[in-house]
Amino acid sequence: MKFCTVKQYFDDENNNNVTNGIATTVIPLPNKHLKIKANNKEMEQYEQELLRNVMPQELTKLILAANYLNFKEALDFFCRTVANAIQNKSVDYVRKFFGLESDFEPGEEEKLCKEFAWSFEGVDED
Amino acid sequence: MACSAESTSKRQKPDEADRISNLPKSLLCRILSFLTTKEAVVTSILSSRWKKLWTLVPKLDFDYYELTTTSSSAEVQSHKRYNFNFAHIVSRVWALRSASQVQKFRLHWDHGVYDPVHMDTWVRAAIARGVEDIDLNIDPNSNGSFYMPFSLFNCKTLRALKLSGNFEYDTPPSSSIVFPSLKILHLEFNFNSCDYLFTLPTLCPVLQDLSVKVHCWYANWHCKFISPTLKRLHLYMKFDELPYKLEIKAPALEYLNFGGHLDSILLEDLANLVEAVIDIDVDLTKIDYYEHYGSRVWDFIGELGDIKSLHLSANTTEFLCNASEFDPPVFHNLSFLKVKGPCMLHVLPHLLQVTPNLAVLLVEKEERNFFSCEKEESFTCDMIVYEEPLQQVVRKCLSSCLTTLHYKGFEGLKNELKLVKHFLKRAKVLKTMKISSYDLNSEEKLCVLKELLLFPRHSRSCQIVFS
Repeated sequence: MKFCTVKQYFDDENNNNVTNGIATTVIPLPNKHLKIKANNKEMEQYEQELLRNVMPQELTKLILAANYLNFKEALDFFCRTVANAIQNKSVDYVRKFFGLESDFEPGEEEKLCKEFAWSFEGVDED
Repeated sequence: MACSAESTSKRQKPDEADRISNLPKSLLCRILSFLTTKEAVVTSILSSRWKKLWTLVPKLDFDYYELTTTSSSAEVQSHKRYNFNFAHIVSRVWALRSASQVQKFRLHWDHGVYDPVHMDTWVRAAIARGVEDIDLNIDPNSNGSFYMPFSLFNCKTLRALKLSGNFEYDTPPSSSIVFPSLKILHLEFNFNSCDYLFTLPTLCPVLQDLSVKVHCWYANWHCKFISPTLKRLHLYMKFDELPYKLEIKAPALEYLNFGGHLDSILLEDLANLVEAVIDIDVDLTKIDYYEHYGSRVWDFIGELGDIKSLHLSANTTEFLCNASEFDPPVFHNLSFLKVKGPCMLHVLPHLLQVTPNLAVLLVEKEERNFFSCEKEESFTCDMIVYEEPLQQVVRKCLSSCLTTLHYKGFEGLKNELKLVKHFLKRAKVLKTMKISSYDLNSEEKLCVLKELLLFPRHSRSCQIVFS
């Protein structure tokens, strides 16, 4: 059932931003996943590798590909990888990781900081 | 579903479309759902698009320790920036988040001053929002407890429930159906009276995964548990070595994990049981006649005769080793065996005698400080290699079945080498022999490896891995 969507994906012209790189990463995943499903340590290592070798932009593509292919386990894996990357990191770090800039009105940011002060405890002063 | 359209001509520049934050909201929420609520709220400050994103995440995850630990920097201690307490924070989040479904509600309140009224309010709110997964943990030493509301029993959306700490409930009448959609139930409590411990799981119509970890000070209780749908059962009975009786009828059971104190357990109809993990965890010094206890453990394992996979912990093998009388049945279907502990080699000959179709054998020698066994390892190794009745069975198993042998905690001792040599010589279909040691230095390892490689191998395709 997964292979039908894969074929459709390649045929679909709108998805021309799928490179071969993505295909080679996402498609072998079912096998890899089944093999190391029980072994959490290996999954962790794979996740570390992924974070080191792959830019956030690539992760975006992987997430979209997994979502389109309806491949839940891969989607969860990539989403979790992104979540682990930004967990408890400073706001500046996360903005850089996401390629974002603050577009708040002056003072709005401070207001939020005060309102949710309890959530900012323990965040890295990166 | 696709992110904001970018024509192909713009692909030369680092794409806006590729930025994670331009993913659709549903996918961003999915990412945030892997964070705790505290971590997710932090993202509100990233940009205006992210300001309210955390309110859409269908998961609430609060941990008392996480939310009330302040950093130790002097700056924080000198002027408290806020004065929210745990209950304030949780209530505030509930008030601010959207009215959408809460799929998962996790609350660990295992420190601080527990307030049952707040807990009840939040659980009811989660139920009203169609919660599917509840995970609650209350400090077992606290004065309060959580009294399960009736709406929890009737909740149609609930699929998984984990409760740990002090919980109370009115046992629903035995004719009622509770938790109509519940597949996973994990209970961990201290029970003053265990009489109604298993009535709740018995009433769940579609339960598949049950875990009960209980510490009971009550002796001589008798419980019966019936579930036609249960596939996985994990029992941990910490009973201070008091007697009890448990009858289990779960004909669909595939996986059994038993830990703690073993007394009278009646297992009816285990036709579908595939895997069993046994970890008898009892203070040896508190048992009178531990040889009889050991026999009891052998009897228990004997009841599982049709299984394919068996794991025996270090504690378990100690009891098996010291049993006075035992007569285990033959495990015809057993193809995977894992044996751990310092008594591993003492017990192995007896196990090999009743596992004629063993394909994968994992042994792990562990060091234990408190209990040292008097049996001689060289004696039991000789048993495997030389003793006649055992030889017949082992020969058959080795020549046609054994494909994998993994020996952890190898010390390079004479009797160990003798054993490994014997296996290599006889095992016709052996594919992998993996040997790992903890204490050998690299020089000793090289020595052992050289010796291992020199042993004659019956199986040509056998690979030896040494680490």
